[in-house]
Amino acid sequence: MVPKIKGVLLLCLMIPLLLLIQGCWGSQETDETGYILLMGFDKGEKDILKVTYQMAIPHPVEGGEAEKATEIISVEAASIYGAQQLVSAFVSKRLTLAHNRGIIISEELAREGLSKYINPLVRSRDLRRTTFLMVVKGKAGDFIEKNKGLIFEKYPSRQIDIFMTFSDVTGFIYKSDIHSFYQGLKLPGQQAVTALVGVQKEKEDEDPKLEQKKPRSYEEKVKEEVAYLPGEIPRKGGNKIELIGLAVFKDDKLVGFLNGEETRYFQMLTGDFKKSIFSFPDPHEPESSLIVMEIKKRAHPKIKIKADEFKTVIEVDILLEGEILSIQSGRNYENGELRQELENYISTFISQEATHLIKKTQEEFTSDIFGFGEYTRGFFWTWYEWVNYAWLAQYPYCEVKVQTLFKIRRPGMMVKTAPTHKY
Amino acid sequence: MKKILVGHWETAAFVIILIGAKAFLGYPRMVTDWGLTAGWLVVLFSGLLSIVFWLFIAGVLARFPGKPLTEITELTFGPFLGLGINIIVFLYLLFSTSNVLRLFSEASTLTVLTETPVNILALLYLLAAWLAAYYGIEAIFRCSYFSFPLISIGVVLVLLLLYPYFDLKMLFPLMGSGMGPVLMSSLWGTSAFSEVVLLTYLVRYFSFNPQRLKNVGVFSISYIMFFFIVIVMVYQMVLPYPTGSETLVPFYQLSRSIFLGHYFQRVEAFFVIFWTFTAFLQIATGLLVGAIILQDTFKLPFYRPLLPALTLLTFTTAFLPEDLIQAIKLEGEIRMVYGWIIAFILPIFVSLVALILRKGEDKVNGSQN
Repeated sequence: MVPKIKGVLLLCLMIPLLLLIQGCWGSQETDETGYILLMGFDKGEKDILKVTYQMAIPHPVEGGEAEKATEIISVEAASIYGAQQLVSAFVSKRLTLAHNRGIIISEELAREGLSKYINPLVRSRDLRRTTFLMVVKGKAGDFIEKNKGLIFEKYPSRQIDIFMTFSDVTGFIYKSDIHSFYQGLKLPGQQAVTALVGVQKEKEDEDPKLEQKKPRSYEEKVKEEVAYLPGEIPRKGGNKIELIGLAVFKDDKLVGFLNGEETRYFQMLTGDFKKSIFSFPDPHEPESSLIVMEIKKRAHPKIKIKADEFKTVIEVDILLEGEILSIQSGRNYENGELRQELENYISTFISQEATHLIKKTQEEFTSDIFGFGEYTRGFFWTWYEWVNYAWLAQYPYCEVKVQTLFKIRRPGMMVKTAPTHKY
Repeated sequence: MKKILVGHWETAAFVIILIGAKAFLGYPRMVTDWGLTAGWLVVLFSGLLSIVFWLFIAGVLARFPGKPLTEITELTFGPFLGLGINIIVFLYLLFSTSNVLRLFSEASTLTVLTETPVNILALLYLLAAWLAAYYGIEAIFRCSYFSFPLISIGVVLVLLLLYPYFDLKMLFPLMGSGMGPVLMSSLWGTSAFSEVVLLTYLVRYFSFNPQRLKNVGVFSISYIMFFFIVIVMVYQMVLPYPTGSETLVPFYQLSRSIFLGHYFQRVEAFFVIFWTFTAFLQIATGLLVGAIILQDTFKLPFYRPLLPALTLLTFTTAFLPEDLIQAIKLEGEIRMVYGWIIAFILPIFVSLVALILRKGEDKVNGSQN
């Protein structure tokens, strides 16, 4: 009986403690909370920084359709958190970044350097490092504003989530988050990149210089099928925003862009590439026919860095496989010598493009965005020896050898093309 | 009154959780600071060295069957000097427990309970720990035994779910900060395994013999050493040096990094459960063993009446550091760097003196006869 009384007494003692439980201090009603879904940073006009927020408007579970799902607000302040606090002056919600899915940074701000803006993001207890990080060609505020009327989703957070999964099936979207960007800033063997986004250009926005560009040949059009930067895709309908390409950084400063085509080769070289649809000019009729191939990663690229006193050589073997989606000429590339010829043609084509891309990063950007330097870690016993090796300074002078090993694995649903009768 | 005895599996689970708790606070960051990319090597070397230290200490216990280290110290050095040494050990334990309480409370404030005053958090944690200590060794050991597989599975799950980040290159250069610094930090890194020595103060509660106690210690250190190595390797692959040396609560940061698509993310809430449990256990053990050391030192019949005063003392000491950074420094630059001297070297010194003065031999011979 005595233990029972003791137990009851203990319970009586513990119940008041439960009432005092620590959660009460941090209690926040759901209707008090404002969930930020997207956040954009631009240079301020009246203050240092202009922060644009796209916030969710919570809907009751039952009842009719609400008028809109999100509200866009922007405020200028000296800092990111200062802006968030200032919002409380005109928004009756306590903002939280806990459900923020993407951060968009303007090109102008990125060219000045992102270190000072990344620090509060990685330090944040609210924000996750898995939050997507993107650089916008133009202004972040415009990007969020133009994306207001979502067509296919209700919330932009989900929209960005889905877009980023396309990285695995297109290769021209790069899945970048705060974590990967921060590693790129801090590691001595690589430099940072982010996804590149933009807004569809209106007719009046179009650059007259672009209009005057000399017309491209059939072969060029095939080769450059996805060689667009955001805002350049010739299209009608759909969302107002575009995600294609890559923003290249040297240290913490934006130094250039890669278009969709180059982004695919970038991902092949880093091993992030999963699959994508490629069009190639038909080797026998380059001016009139094309071949479409779904190319997949066969294995992670084999990267070797060979260094001696005189030169450093970067050797990359890209391992791919493909499935034929279309052969316009009707030639039977599925078998025999033609197949071998096509495999060699595609291998050489990809190797040339990948080599060209590496050269571009060496000469134009002087930035090792592929992280080749990380492969030199094994040359040294200690961290300090490796850091003193100063890979990033050596990178622009390295020799590059890229080899692609491409195999056609499947011909699609046809084993050959029967000849078409011509009269 | 029923004599309380605990088995060897409960004891092993208790030691593993007690040592392992620091993986959830700053340990992966500390070894990254010491060894840079070779942080995992520091864990390996310090674990092996701790096993050697433990074998030595367990050898002394075998010379004094059934006697706790407090008593052995008094037998070896006499009542006056022995009392002094025991008080030093008690003060070290008090300092360790207080700092764990402070760090744990501060980490909770920074991560999950952001609005709660840190002293309220510390008070609530301490009250729960007091309750556990009041129920005594059996409750704490059985809780460890029960939760040990759950925590192990939880940790393994978190580590596995981080596989998209795995990049072995980040563990190179292999020797990190260099052979000298790695070996030096491995020596003081033994502080991380020093909780095993607490067993020497609890021998009278064990249902098994000193030989098995030795094996329990070796098994526990080996088991947790393996876990620490894997945790540090994963940590260094996900947050490679130098970013790995920045994080306040490494394991929490790791669990926040899990993102396996839209429907599988935000799993850190799951981690917080076993994080909290291990910290409670560590604080409760600090209170309990502290009270038992005082009981043995001052030859008191009971330890429970000491708990209120000890709880208050722990709470007050926890708030001696002015801020979190000072508490982190105390843990990383004082306790982890010099703790092994009190935890391992002091008992080894006691055993060496006992060996030289041939203390305990009669008993050993007696028992053999």
